[in-house]
Amino acid sequence: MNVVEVKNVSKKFGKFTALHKIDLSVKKGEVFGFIGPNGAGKSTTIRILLGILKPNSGYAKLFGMDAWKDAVEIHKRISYVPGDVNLWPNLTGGEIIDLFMQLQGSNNKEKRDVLIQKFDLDPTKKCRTYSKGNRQKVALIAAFASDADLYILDEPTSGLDPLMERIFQECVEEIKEQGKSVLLSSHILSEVERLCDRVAIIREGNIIETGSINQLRHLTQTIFKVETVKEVRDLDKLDGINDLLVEGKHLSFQVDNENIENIMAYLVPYGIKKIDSTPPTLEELFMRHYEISSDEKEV
Amino acid sequence: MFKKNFYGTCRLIRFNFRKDRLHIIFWFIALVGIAVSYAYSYPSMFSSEAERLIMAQTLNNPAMTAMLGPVSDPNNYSYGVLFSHEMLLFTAVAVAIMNILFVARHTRMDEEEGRLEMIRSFPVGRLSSLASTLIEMLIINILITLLHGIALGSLGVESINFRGSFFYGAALGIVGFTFASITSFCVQLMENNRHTTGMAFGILGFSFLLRAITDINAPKLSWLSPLSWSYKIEPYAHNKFLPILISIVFSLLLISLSLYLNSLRDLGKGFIPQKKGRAYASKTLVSPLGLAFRLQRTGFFTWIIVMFIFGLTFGSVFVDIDAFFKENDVLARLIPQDSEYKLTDQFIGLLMSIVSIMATIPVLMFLLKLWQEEKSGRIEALVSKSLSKQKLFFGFFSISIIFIAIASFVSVLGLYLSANAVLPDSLEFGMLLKANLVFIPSITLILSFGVFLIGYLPKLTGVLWGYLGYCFFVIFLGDMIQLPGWMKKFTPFDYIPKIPVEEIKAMPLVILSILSIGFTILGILCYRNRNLQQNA
Ligand SMILES: Nc1ncnc2c1ncn2[C@@H]1O[C@H](COP(=O)(O)OP(=O)(O)OP(=O)(O)O)[C@@H](O)[C@H]1O
Ligand SMILES: [Mg+2]
Repeated sequence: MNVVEVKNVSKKFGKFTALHKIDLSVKKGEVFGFIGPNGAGKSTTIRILLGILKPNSGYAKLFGMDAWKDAVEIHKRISYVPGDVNLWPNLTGGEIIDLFMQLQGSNNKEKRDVLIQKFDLDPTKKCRTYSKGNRQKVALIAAFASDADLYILDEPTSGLDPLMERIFQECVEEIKEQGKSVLLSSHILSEVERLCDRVAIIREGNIIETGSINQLRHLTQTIFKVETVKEVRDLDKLDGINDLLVEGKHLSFQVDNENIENIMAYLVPYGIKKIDSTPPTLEELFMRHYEISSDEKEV
Repeated sequence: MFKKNFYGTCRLIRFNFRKDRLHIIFWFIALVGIAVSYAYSYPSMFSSEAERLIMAQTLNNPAMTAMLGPVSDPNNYSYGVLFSHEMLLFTAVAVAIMNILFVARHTRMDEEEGRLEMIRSFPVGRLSSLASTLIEMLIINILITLLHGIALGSLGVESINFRGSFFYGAALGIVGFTFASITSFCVQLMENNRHTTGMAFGILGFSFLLRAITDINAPKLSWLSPLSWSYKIEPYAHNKFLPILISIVFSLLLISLSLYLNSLRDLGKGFIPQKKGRAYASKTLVSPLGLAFRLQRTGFFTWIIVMFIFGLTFGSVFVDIDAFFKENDVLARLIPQDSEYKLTDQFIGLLMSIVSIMATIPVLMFLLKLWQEEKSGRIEALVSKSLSKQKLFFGFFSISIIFIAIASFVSVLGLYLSANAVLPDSLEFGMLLKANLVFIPSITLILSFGVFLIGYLPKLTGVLWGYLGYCFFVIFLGDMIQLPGWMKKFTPFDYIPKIPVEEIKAMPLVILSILSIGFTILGILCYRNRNLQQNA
């Protein structure tokens, strides 16, 4: 069963359409990545899932319940961390963590204290004195200490240092082992690549790709570095070759994934001594999609 | 549906009280403390009934009615009636301000800063935040009612009995809660906290003016102003229920409307959409003065209009004074016989000092904005961009100075226009302007205190508001309630010659000006040498 099920959802702010009929689903037990350029509509989608924005069309369901109508029931089973955590300046971090946990309906003091230690937070300080990263930690600790079935994280690591980022990733992996689901929106692609089973890319309010990271890679190119016995000729005449660089018997080029077979067949007669292929990083994947959108705009 | 929308309200109420505990205690102590110490000193201030009657007649004139509301029972001017006449309206305004600030902070401010989004991600109903805030305010206002009732009633002052004291407390409580509900309505319309409190304070100011004007000319119409419901209860005299009932009905209607509107709108939105800003900074924005002005433009113009209306109101009221005093034998005796001046002239000095104290409010606000910006860390971003701290400081400082000049002029203009509309040729513009301008050194002195504090101890700048309140209190009420003379000596406004009754004396003006310049320079030196503080 899908934990999150979004069908045909549109959202307008006045005349501006932030989401165009998007579909999305998160399966039970998976970590689902949600990426896209600034202003693409990630946070808007998440707010619809939280039932604090009402979609203009379509529906969003969590655990089979309607995000808008059954918000209270749903929220008993989720935990949310926004990217920009603002807290009440005259309360301490510890007080707020307790409040959040109480509101969520969990009361696991042990887990809370372990997490506070892990994230190295001083819970006795007033929130007005916390740095951005520390405020973020408060929300993360409260979220991970609560017992939820779905964690909705909207750029949860913005402002965390690399050490804390690592601890965050450990926490997500722990959750995943317990069979819980996570919706993670992020700009840190290495994080998404490491944690997520499936990814959706959203751009200007449209979901343009969804799938596992491997599936997404199929849509792109692979980088090859090859050393051959004989010098290779006329490689540039083949279909699907890009960025070809020839230095005697050393070649480097990119291939559209669908043409890899042809190219390999062409190369074999020249005697392959060494071959090195790198799949595109998510970053390149993302850039490609991102660039398409800017190209379209120029046209 | 009901349960869904209000789920978790109780938890949030408890949470609100935890956040507010210090604020609440502060307000309670201030309100009840002032009321009690004041009521307690009455018997020693006015020992005979004759004295009270003279007092009653002093207070029972249009100018005083405009400021304090009408006397509830002129024939029986007991301590209780005297006390509630002098204190009730202003305390009610203070309670209204408290309610506005609390409600806006818990609703729109939390919503604007994303804290409500966090709260709403928990199992909490769509309307729980608004509902919990309003219930909190209801409890606070009931406590205000009870505390006043118990504290005043147990003083044992003659005629300040328990029954009257509870009605006195209730008068404060209902005005407070009415303004809590008014604010909850403003929250639905406006998209940010500043506009929300701005609108609510605007309604409060309008209510005050509306009742000031109608109390004099058409007392029936003053029912339209929620502020009038306080003294219409007539505590210690008739202890009426009707205003309480009206305010409850009014509040309930308004709250239902607010809750309904809240259930319709998206989080973060208001029914009056915000205008889009400019994509590029205009040239003026880039200069320190331009920036300081741009940040406070709306406030600047609003306050100019407020000062003008203030002048208008005063002008329309106080030309009646002469006629009034002529008819009144008791009062006629109060005025020095040999005085060659008309009563109106004698009132001009008092009036101008009040106008000046009013004008000091925005003057300080415009300056202290610098400290607010610093606290929020925005100054840091600017200063690192090749703009020196001092330049930025002078930007904000100049706005205050410019405002002083404009405010004097428009308030005098308002006064002049309305006074002459009622009684042609009653007052000279030049004389009025002079009477007002002499107060400028007092305003600049308080401004320079502000500069000094921003430089030396910025966290204490809040004290200035208390000081200004003190100035208002002793200048305005000092003579009437016969406060000891030395209390006035602590305000710069007392040293100013009262034109046209007194001659212009250069000495006090020069001394005040020198002090202003001294404190300003000192403040600037401190400011230059201290670090920017953030998140303080
Ligand atoms: N309350 C609102 N009123 C008007 N427009 C809005 C509102 N909220 C979001 N938008 C617009 O909707 C679009 C999507 O915004 P959203 O916050 O969902 O982007 P995002 O993908 O989360 O971006 P980021 O990566 O910067 O967080 C943006 O163009 C934004 O300006
Ligand atoms: Mg976002």
